[in-house]
Amino acid sequence: MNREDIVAVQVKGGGAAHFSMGMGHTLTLGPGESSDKWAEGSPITRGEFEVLLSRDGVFEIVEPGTEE
Amino acid sequence: MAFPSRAQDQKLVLCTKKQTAMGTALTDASLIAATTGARYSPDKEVSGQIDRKFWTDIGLAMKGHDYATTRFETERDYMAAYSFPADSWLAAWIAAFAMGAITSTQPNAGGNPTAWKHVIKPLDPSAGSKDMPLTTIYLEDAQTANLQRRLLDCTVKDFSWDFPASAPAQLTANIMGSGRQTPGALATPPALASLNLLMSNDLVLKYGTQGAPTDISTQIVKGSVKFGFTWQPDDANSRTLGGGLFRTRLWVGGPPQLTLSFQRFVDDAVSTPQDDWLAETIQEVLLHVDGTTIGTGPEKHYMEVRGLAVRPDVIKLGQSGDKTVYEYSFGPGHWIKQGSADVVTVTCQNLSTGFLN
Repeated sequence: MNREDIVAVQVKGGGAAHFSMGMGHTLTLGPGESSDKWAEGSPITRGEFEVLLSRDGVFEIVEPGTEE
Repeated sequence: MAFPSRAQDQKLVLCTKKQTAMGTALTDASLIAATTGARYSPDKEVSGQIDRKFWTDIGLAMKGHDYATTRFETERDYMAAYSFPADSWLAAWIAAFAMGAITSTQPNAGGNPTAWKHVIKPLDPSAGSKDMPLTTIYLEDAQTANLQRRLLDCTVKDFSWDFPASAPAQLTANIMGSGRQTPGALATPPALASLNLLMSNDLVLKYGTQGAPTDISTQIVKGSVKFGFTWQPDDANSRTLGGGLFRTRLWVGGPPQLTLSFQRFVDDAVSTPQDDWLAETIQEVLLHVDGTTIGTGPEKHYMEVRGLAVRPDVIKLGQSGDKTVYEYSFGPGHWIKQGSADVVTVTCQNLSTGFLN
């Protein structure tokens, strides 16, 4: 994994949302927040975003230069 | 002086939070916090009795007698059936800890921010991990320290929704734990939760074309609807070396088992159920139960299950007046995976900001 594999994510539309799967992979974001780490501390990879977070259409990747 | 113990005096506290690891109990602060802990009253008393397995020397040869002289404990477990009148928080808690994956959002963040919608799906071992989420349950059988227990490493082995006529829908959950427990009273347990009931008579059942199933609620025999979900623990690999009496992990070991059945009556001349049986067309089925309005609305407490691609077995049960009654049933092999689409989703709406948090 290199730096490019790590992504920061936010909630589409700027709201609050929570995701969790299994024992790990927990992400809770308040309005306007973004994070590049799971609640457990490990980085969010692009693959994890695509497989876990993107499917419900709730989260999106923060594109460089768009952070608030 | 011993206090008398009655079922009415027992306490059950559940928590939205998952443990950080097998064997690491949730904190008492999490169990009692208004945002995460919740005290509910089940239909009947539930037991905190730990299951134990033993080895004895009864089968050894050359002892000079036929009897055991000793026994050693080898394993612990916890299994118990909990059932509740359906409530929107309980429906979400049970489904989340049985299915393992959840996404929670505010459907109306600006106008009604206290409403939260939870979309719950089966854990996907190929996408995330095989480890089911675990929680800690506080169960007080009586006001005696050794009967005031935190049951660790609990998950929901299976659950069902029933819809008895003229009553709240019924939630039944078989709780599976490692058998670990820590005794001692939970200081200031939460007050009993106010139920946001979901009534059987408010069930809407839709069935038919994918994406636009038809409301057939008026054709459903009251009390006949039943939905169930069971996940398959990988028992063979749950007790690794060095674990002693307890499981060291709880992996998903096989495909989830989904079941749904309902009875439908139609006019004798209507062939729809027979057509459904013979056509093998992939259909959608949806159960939805609305409760009371949340805050200023329009959001309501609700629970819902969607089978996005199903094929039924349909059996003619017989005549009832000028109607013909058919039973639709959907066993585990009737829920179809189409591409990357979900097979089943459970959605609940309530006041909690998240589960498995």
